Amino acid sequence: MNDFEKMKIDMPYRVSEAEFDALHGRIRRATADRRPAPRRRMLLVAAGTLAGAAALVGVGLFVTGGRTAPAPGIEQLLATAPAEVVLQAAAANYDDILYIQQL
Amino acid sequence: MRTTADITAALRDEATRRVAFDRLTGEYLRPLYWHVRRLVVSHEEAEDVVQETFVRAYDRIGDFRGGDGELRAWLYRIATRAAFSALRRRRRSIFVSLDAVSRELAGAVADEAGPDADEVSVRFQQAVLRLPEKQRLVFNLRYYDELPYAEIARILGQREESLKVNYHHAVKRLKEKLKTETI
Repeated sequence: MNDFEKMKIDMPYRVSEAEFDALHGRIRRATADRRPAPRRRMLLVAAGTLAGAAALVGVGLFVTGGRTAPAPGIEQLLATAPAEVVLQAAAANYDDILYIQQL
Repeated sequence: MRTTADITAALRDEATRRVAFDRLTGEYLRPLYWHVRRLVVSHEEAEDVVQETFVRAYDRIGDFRGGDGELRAWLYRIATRAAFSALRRRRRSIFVSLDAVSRELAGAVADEAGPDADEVSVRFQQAVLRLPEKQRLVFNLRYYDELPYAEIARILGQREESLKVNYHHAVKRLKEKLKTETI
């Protein structure tokens, strides 16, 4: 028996072909009414996308939430900001010529 | 649908999946049954575990993304896990190790094999069941199923080098065990 590496020792059990056929039939019946589950990978991707979108919305709300304080009036801005800054802001946002004329 | 590659391709197509799965079952039913039987010993339990294996495989077939060579390893992996779950259920308490369960099962081999069974085969199987879990698994998959180490590594999630060491220790232990029994 110590030569088991050279001479293969079989399993001590015997199972007939009829038993294997019966088992195959059992498996066929057990899977007959089942549908394979949706791909987990697709579910993970969908869940990840939703989580990402939720995080973006959350960050957006957080950032805008910090800006609820009323903006300073235009008169106050014009009084305190240097002229260059006001000009740059005006160039970016308003009709430049009109603003320069006002200044 | 003659080769494993054909079956793998057909499994991906919903229209041919059921027929392909039936072919897959026919192809791997026997090797998986014997793999599980070596672990759980009882014929009825082995049948239940093999059925569970194929049902799980069918449920998760959409997740299978491996190539043709991966299919067998995937099925063996599911079967091994299902067999160990069955062994865990058999424990009298959570403090009993699976090795202790297997050692107990060694005592049931002779009854399972019946009175006409070959005595050498019975004793050999009992000795295999007394091996530690990792050694037993790699020994079964290598000795009986003749799987390459690379595939066993995929089934058990271990490195090939570690499997070779475990196989070597298993053979050594078996030789020592069988030698003392013979004397």
